Amino acid sequence: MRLFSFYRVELKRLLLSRTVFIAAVLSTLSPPLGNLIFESSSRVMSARYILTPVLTGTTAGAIVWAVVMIMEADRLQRSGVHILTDAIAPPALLSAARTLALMTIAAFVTLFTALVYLPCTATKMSYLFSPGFYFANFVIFMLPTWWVSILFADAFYQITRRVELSVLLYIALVGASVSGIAASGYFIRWINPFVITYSDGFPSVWPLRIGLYTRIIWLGIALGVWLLSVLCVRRYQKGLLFSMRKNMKKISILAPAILSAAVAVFLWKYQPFIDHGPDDYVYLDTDMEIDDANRISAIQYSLKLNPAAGTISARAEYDIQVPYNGENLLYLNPGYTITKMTYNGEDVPFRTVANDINGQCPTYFSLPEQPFYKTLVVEYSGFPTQAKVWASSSVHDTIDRDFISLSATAVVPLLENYYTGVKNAAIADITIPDNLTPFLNYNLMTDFVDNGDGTRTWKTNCPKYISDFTAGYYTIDTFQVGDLTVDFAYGTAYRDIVMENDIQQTIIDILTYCSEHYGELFSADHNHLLLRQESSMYMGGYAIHGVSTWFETVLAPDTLSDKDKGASATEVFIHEMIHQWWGGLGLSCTNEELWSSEGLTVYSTYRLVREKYGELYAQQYYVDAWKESVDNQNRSFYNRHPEYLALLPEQYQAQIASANRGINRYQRMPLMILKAEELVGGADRMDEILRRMYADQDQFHENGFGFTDFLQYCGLTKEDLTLE
Amino acid sequence: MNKLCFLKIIYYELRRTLFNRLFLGLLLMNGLCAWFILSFDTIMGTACTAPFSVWSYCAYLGRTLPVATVTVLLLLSNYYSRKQKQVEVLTAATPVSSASQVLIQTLAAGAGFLIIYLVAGTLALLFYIRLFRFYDFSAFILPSMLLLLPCFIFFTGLGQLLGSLHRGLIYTLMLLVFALYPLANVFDIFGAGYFSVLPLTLPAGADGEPAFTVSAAFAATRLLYLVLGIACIYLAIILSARKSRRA
Repeated sequence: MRLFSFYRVELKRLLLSRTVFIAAVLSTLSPPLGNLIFESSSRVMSARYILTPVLTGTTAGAIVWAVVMIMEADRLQRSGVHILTDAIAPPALLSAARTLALMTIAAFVTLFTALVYLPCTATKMSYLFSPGFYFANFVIFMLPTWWVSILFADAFYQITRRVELSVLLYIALVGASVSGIAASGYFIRWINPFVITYSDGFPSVWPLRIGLYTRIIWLGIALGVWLLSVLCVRRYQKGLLFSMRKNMKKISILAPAILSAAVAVFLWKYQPFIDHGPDDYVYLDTDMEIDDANRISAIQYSLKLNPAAGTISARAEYDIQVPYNGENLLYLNPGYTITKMTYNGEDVPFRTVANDINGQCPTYFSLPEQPFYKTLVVEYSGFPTQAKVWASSSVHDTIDRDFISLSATAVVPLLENYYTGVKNAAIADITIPDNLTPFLNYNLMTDFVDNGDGTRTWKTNCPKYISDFTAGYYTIDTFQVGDLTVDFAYGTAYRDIVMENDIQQTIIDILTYCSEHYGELFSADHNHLLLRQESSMYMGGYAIHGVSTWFETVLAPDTLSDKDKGASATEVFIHEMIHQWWGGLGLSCTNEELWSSEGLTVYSTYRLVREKYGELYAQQYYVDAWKESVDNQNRSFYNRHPEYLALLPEQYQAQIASANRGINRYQRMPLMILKAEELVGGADRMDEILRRMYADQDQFHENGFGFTDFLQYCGLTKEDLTLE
Repeated sequence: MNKLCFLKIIYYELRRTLFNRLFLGLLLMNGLCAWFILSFDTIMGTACTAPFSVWSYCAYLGRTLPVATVTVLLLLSNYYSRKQKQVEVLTAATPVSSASQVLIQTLAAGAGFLIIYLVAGTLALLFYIRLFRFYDFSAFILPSMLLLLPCFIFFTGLGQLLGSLHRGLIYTLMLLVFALYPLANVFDIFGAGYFSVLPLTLPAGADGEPAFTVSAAFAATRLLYLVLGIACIYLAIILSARKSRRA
């Protein structure tokens, strides 16, 4: 009761305080600074108009409220009346009341800030605006972070009783969060939450889910530290250690403090969002010998996705002709739990090893040698985790109401030791919300049954291994380019943009250019090509058999209206489409230190851009940019003195090697091909050579088309292409 | 006031300023910060030069300077604290002149700054020896002076001046320190930006690295900062003398 009484008094006092008023104004004004100062590079509207302002306001406001908290905590001591107030009210109770009052005001200011920017954001984002998503950002990121900041600031003051030291400790804590080490860490960044980006066309709440989780962790830690700081309240005018010793007897404070911190640490350690494997990609030797007899005659996959909880509940049935005589192995997403495994109706003992690698986790089991031709059933369920390897750059596995993306072992188990012998041995039934358009293994699914409960069960034949399942609000336009049928799948949110900017014609131009210069597209699947827009949370684009994908931002209004910016996301679109000619599906190139399909693709993109946008543009954004990168690479100390590279720790060696590989493939090689263009007699002659290379692709399926092959086609030597 | 008395006051001021938990904590923070910069930034070399080039070393110093400057400003803020004001009546009655007081305080802060850079310098040397077996540090001395001295004098002078006007202004100055950090031109008081950009614009020498040089404009601005700092200290002395007379 006394706490509530003090709380009311403190709340009234703080509401009348000039300092608190200024803090509220500063906090409210801070969100737009994000886009004003940093010129947000994001072309996704929800990232630019919601994420960036909210995160800026979160960090700036947290600092402002921390300053206010420290000033308020020091107020009594500063004015010298703490001796009197301590005699009237327990300092710990007063401190708690003050902190709670400030946290209440911070909550009001959060709500006020959200309301202030609501009209502007809604107008800017137009039909993409979702009030729920907008407010969720404020409630999930801004408010808890401000509370955490207030708790830490007060805790530091209670511990040190010195403004300077409190500020220093606070700065150190902020430093840990904003430092390079925490750059892409979801969990360590307490004051500046990490969010890759948002998506306008394929909205996902995964960033909000992990954001909420990390805020709960930090609230737990801050509460624990704050409760511990209450134990530091000075007693009998003695110092910190004496007072702590005396206060330690207060189990009612000590126990919740430890519990709160322990729960937070537990949540951190066993977080379900990102796997617990190594940071870097691990190359696994998966070439195992499979006996001809270990064949699966049929597979049935049944997947039910629950977007509200973000979970999957699934069943995989394998009709095994002859069980593998040894320890069987299957990989699943580390977030999934195998709930049941039976063979011929009998339970099969299995053990899942906590050894997450590349976003998958192994489960071992043994099958009886007899009987043959029986069914292995694996039932599993859970919340998919992201592979740590790419968790900081993209969101691969998420099940949401508006967007579903599952990759590899997040869809079905990867069962080793068996083969099917036929291409589409499996039948997959996938139940998802009825408003989403699904793709399985990059193929549009067409057959479904309406369940009448807001869901549809989609059915298709597929291989044993499913590498991708994506479902979202897609619009699909189908058109012809010569004999080629193109399915152009893009987010329904972009329908007007696609129409206004005549994107369809751009695609036709690219396909026509490449067909004319390099030959008809071989990689189209029965003269069919799918061009699919990817969520901006899924970094990069890629090309596989009959499919090209590209960044969501290619179709963002800002991208399409930016005529000055070169080598932009739009050209990534061109690049990915050209990979249909140069890459695993067209002319299969070897991956050497310098040579890969990227060099040819970048060069071809440059040629197309040169034709489309002019010589000057291509020179500035391609050739000059390549030269600058190559010059910097040549100048780099470690490239001039490799003997010193060996002295560096492995992580830096890998970092430098990776940077070099990138420049070699994406900048140096295109420059070398450009030089080759000059030496062979110009662009037309080079096009003839490229056309010949593409036509001869069958010869290189086995060993790949290498740099030496390229030199032979050009009639040049390696030395000819040496860059000065 | 005789020389012995002056030295005694310096001794006590140094003890008061440097032999306390606050300074030790700050020193530790500076050391950690320096090691962090060496391990994650300097190790890759600045602007394509060797990590142990004068360019990289200067960029390293420049990156450590904001934290060291804030540390010095925190030390200075103690001289303008409430408690200090309460004893001003007593100190004003002593034969120590205001000028001496300001100079002694500056000296104490300077000693703190020096200790910080002894630690930062030692860490850098250990880093270079351990990782690159590099021992030739003589080339680092002059550029270090060029970077550290004007920066220290300017911020200490400004801190003394602002502190004598109002203590809160020192904290505002700390914010200014971070605001100035991203500068990368001749006005870059910390030099981190300047030394990270300049080598890229210079021709490489025989060893593939640009020879160390600074532009006349940069040298002139260093001198300007030095003069401004001294002028601020002088103004702080005048203000302090006025206050003493009033007290």
